[in-house]
Amino acid sequence: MSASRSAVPFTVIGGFLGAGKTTVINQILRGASGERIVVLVNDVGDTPIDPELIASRSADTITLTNGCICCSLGDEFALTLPDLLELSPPIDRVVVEASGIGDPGRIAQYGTLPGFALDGVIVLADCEGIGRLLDDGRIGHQIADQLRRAHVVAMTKSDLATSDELKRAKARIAEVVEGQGIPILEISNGQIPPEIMFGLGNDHVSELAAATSDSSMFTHGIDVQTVPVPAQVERVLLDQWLAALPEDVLRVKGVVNLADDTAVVVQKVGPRCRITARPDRADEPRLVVISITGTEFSHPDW
Amino acid sequence: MFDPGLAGAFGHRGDITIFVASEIVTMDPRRPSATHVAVCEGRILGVGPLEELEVWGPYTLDERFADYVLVPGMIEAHSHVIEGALWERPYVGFHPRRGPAGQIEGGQRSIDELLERLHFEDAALTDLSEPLICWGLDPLYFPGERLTSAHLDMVSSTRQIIVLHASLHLATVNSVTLQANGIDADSETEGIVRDTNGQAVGELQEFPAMLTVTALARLFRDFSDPRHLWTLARQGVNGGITTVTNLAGAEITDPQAAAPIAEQVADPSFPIRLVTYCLPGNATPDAVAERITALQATNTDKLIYGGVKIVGDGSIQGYTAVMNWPGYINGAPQGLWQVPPDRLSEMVRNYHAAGINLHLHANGDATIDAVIDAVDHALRHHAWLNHRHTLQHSQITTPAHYRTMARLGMCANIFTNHLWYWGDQHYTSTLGPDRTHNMETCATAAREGVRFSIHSDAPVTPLNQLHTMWCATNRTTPTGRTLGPNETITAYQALAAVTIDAAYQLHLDHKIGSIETGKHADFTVLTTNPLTCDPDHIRDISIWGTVLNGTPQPAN
Repeated sequence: MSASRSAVPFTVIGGFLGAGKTTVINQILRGASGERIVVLVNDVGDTPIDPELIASRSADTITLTNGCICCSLGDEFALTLPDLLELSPPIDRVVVEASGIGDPGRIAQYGTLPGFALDGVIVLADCEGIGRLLDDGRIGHQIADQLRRAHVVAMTKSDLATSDELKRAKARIAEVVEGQGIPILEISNGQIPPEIMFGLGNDHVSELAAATSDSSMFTHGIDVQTVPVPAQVERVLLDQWLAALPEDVLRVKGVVNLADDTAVVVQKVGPRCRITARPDRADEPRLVVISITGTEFSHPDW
Repeated sequence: MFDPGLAGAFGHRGDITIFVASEIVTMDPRRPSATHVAVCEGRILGVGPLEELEVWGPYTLDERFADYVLVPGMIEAHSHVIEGALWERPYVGFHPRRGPAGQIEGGQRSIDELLERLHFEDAALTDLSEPLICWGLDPLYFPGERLTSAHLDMVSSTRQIIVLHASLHLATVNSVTLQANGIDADSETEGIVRDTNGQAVGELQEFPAMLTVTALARLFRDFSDPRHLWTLARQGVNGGITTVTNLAGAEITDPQAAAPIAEQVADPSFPIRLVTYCLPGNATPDAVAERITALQATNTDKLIYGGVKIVGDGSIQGYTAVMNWPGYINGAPQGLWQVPPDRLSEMVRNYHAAGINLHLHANGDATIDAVIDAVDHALRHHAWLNHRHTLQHSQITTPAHYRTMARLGMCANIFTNHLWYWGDQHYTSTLGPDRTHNMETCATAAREGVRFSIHSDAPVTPLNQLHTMWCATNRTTPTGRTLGPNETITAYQALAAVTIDAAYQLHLDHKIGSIETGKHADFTVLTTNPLTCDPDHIRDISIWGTVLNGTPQPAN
């Protein structure tokens, strides 16, 4: 790994068997649009990938025509992770599929190791099946733990459920994750808006500010709003405002110049918020808030 | 049963050696005891008095064991190759252990004694930049005081000092290590233990936190290097073992792993038989079946792919074994499935249908339920009566479980070493007195008709089947408790558990496990007969070494 390279964003997709992880992964690979994404799945042989996307395949690796790679994560996955940083051409992003019973929060910890930057844990829950799973006396507690480890819970197959079923499922999930600041998003066809799936290193999102007036470019059900940021902000006010945001805020990202002449980058996904120092002051400080449509939050009074 | 490897070529016999011993314990009830065993082409040509063996013609009489006792070559049916990897580093555990060179290591009974040992090892390392990595620390034995970087800083302020805990799930490191790896107040990885000011105190819990230390990441990666097989084999010979297992083989998930292992084991001087059960990874059942069948086609006398290992849950002392009511006495959650029970059932059914022998790790009683149910369901669909699927660890298996297992044709491999190493902790902290008395119930397994073996899970506990036998016959703890006195077994039952009954669950009882004509000439050479000595002293019996395929292998 060259010293100058920035950390590779690391995303975890969790959820029990049948939650729709494979569909989501196919959508990620299909929509990669120029990014070289490595997707680590439980078993490549069990992951149907659009045939027209496949450039070559071996027993445990599929190379795609768009430069992405899909490979099986072996038992030594954590030990071989640094090898991904040596690949040429360099990779832009890692997405890891957690096993159906595994703890996605545990896997996310590998995204904090040198060379990587944890970008989010998305846990999928099948609208139709989640209630039954949570009620299962044998594994219910582990399913609940998976949901609590999410930064965002995505309710899959929402188009196949009646509005009553959807409401019930959402209430069950909300009950499990109550008080943890975890937003619950409804999706269909495995489509998680890229601006939610990926925060770090997503230039598309960093240009959102200019585009928020044209909401048609964003996914239905998602609001993208720009929050005005003055030339200087007291750090404590920034922290307070972030902490007070409602649960339905999916991501916040931006740059802010602080009152002590330093500048910071803000990255928030669900309950996880990172504020890191930036070497230079930002020319155009701004904060972009991505939330579930209709979410109301107070603009800061700084 | 027919095995071309045993058919042999009639009329072309090699040289005959007849070993004489003070006693030969055969574990073959047709002839329980003898004085002589004839060996030819690595196999047992005959057992009996010398005059009965002379009919085979000219022979060499080997008298080196005239004052020793021969028992069938002992079998460790649940161990791991990591045993070999760890012994390349100093062992600093509470209980002394015998290392590959025959040295006694460990026995550090306080933090002061540990630091003294680390000072010694630090001085012995000539390369100043090389991290010192030791293993085997069990903090349960140092109640009240937790090892931290402040302690280890007294050993060195220039070298990285890293102490791996016995569980291999934790490590404690000094400040040099923290600094060299950039572990500070801003580190995000969970499991970096901190003081009230947010400063790392040197303890790293679980793999993500341990992998923040480059030297540990390198060490773990090196664990799978096939050269460690030699140290494992050496440890086995020292422990009187002729057949050792690797119960977490990577050869299914990593196809490249097989060839270098085969090469090492095929070396004529490699002194032990290796039986491997592979982890299936996440591959589809068909792919796993195809791969294990291909591996089995490469089986030799010394390297045998037995089947597939499935891990159902965690451990009792880690509170991750999945428990039924009433659960852990401290109210810890019910445990963690490694495979969801429905998926477990599906895997068992598919592998069973493909004729693959399964060894199923189940510590908690909820997991044991799931494993037994899975085998029951598999048998309703596929009538393979000779499967011998084995419940591994089988620590809190109930009489009802054993009755069903007997009906289903299942075996058990019982983790009797827990009685000695963690019995007191189970008594006070995990299961409580009542259920701790009912752990590792070998007598119940025997009474209900389940064939069982007993094991060390090396490197979790030492690779030495005399010690494991002693745990099963005495059931005592370091503080002097006797756990479940009704569950002690006889020395004969214990010896059967580490010989013929271990062979049975590996589908190898026609080849090894007793001293019987036609089998491999595998013997364990002891100074004392474990069947007639005081059961209290079984673990103190001296081991001369082993005989593998007729070739003596002295212990260090």
